[in-house]
Amino acid sequence: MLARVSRWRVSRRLAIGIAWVGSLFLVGLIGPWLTADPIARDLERGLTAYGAPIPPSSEFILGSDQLGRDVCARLVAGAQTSLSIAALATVIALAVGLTVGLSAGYAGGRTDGALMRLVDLVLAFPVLLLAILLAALLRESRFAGSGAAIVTVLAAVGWTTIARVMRDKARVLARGEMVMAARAAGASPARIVLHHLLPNLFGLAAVLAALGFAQNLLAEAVLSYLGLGVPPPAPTWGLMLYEGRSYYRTAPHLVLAPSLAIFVAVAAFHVLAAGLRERFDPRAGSRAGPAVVP
Amino acid sequence: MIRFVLRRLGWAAVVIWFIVTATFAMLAAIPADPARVLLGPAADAASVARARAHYCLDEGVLVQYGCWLDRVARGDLGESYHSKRPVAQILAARAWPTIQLTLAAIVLQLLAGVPLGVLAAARRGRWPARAAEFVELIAQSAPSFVVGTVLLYVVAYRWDLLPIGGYGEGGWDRLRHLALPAATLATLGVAYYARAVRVELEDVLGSDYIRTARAKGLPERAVIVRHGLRSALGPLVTLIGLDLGVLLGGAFVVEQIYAWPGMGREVLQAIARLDLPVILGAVLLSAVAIAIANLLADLAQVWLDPRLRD
Repeated sequence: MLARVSRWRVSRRLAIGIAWVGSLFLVGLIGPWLTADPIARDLERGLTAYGAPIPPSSEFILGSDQLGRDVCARLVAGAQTSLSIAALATVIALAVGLTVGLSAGYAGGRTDGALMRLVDLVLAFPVLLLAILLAALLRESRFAGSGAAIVTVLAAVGWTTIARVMRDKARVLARGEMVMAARAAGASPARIVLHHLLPNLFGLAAVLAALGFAQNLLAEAVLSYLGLGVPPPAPTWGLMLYEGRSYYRTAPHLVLAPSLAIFVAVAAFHVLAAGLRERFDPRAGSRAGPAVVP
Repeated sequence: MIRFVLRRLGWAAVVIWFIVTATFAMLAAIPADPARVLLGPAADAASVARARAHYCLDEGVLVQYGCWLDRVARGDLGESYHSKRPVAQILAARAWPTIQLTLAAIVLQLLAGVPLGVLAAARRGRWPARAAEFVELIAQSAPSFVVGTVLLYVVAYRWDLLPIGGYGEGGWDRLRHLALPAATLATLGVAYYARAVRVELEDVLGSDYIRTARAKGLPERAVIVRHGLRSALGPLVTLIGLDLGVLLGGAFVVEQIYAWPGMGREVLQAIARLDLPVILGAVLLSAVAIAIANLLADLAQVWLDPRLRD
């Protein structure tokens, strides 16, 4: 009973992180039902007499944008789009990274060498340049116009650091006494990997997933900002910023609202990652490589 | 030592080859026709065919690849589809602005990040450390385009303290134009440098030689600066190496916000125009920059810590 309690005890930082991230998802899930249509243009009421965006007012809480659309509604709908893109990309990157890292770390020898050289090569690519090239490539392909292209880009860029960190940890575990004992007891490799290695990588995977989520949110916004993200009129935070950036003098709310949303969301995942790291593995992710953003 | 350098050089060559080849493959896979992009939608089929023939676009991908590699080996990066100027000349014009921006950003990261990390480690658990960690979180979570746009709006537009964008005339004017882009570019780095210094110092401050230094009556400031910070040099050098390599390839977002005429804007423009020679040239250059920076960082690491000499 005691062990159970301490196992689920949560530090204050972790609690804040979970609550913060949870409320973000809540906004993304139920928010769109509570707000106006994010894509409907209201050229009559949504723009001033001179055709300019309306600043925040009682009718539009966060103002309207250059096409008379409700910024608040777009922000909430953007939460849904941006979070689902980041979530999907994180899940794929985690699955690939975990598989590669686990096989390299467990197998060792040649397999390990070959897989890690591959990771090194992909990591040597300037991350943002790789993302831009991939995005430009997929923009011309069949995927164009859907979120699939951007998810692919983010996952293709994100799996490498995960694989590297997982491999290091799996390598240590695979040479440890636990695995030796399991092997002596006649456990098959599959059983060792699934029952002994995987559960011990869970904490690290949680930390990396939170960090990866933050990275993917940022990267999605950066690519949208450079005009390589999800095509309009889909509301994502990066796209809102991209469309609003030329109005930063006359209508700063078009820039500030999505900026703040991105900032709050990324910070949430960083706090969650810090809490998880404290809980599971104090040194995890401190070498998780540079970010995508320069 | 020499074997170490040679091995590193060999690996760097492989990395550069891989990056350039992968880029070539990705560009070749883009289904759009560069000749069509070059001439515009109004051009007739005959001139498009002429342009395709002129740029060897009708050959197979492997022939194009071999052709390009052969020319690069002889020091010729080709000429831009768009402006017809030699790629080497275009990139050379972009190199100096990029170098200035990179160096300015790294200096700012060191000036802000190291003291922040020291503060967080030395006053652990008390309010200065909490404040430093908070600043770290903010710097880490604010993407460059957010910081950039906010600085642009507040400092340049509202307060009118600094120019809104552009390259400036040189000297003092250049510095004024450089300030905001460099500060924006440095924000994230400040968080990373602070974290590296904090983690390393927290590790080291409990060790025996630090206790000895304290025991012999050295003031805390000297203990941290002279003994503690020395061990943080290693991680810092690695970070500087990474930053040098990545930033020399161009700061895509920051250059876009402040209209800074560096490599990043050139590459983005070239990608939009499918100007393959310019893209390939820029990628090659940035791969070389990364390889050199990493090599220098590794060498500096060995020089700092003789235990690494095997």
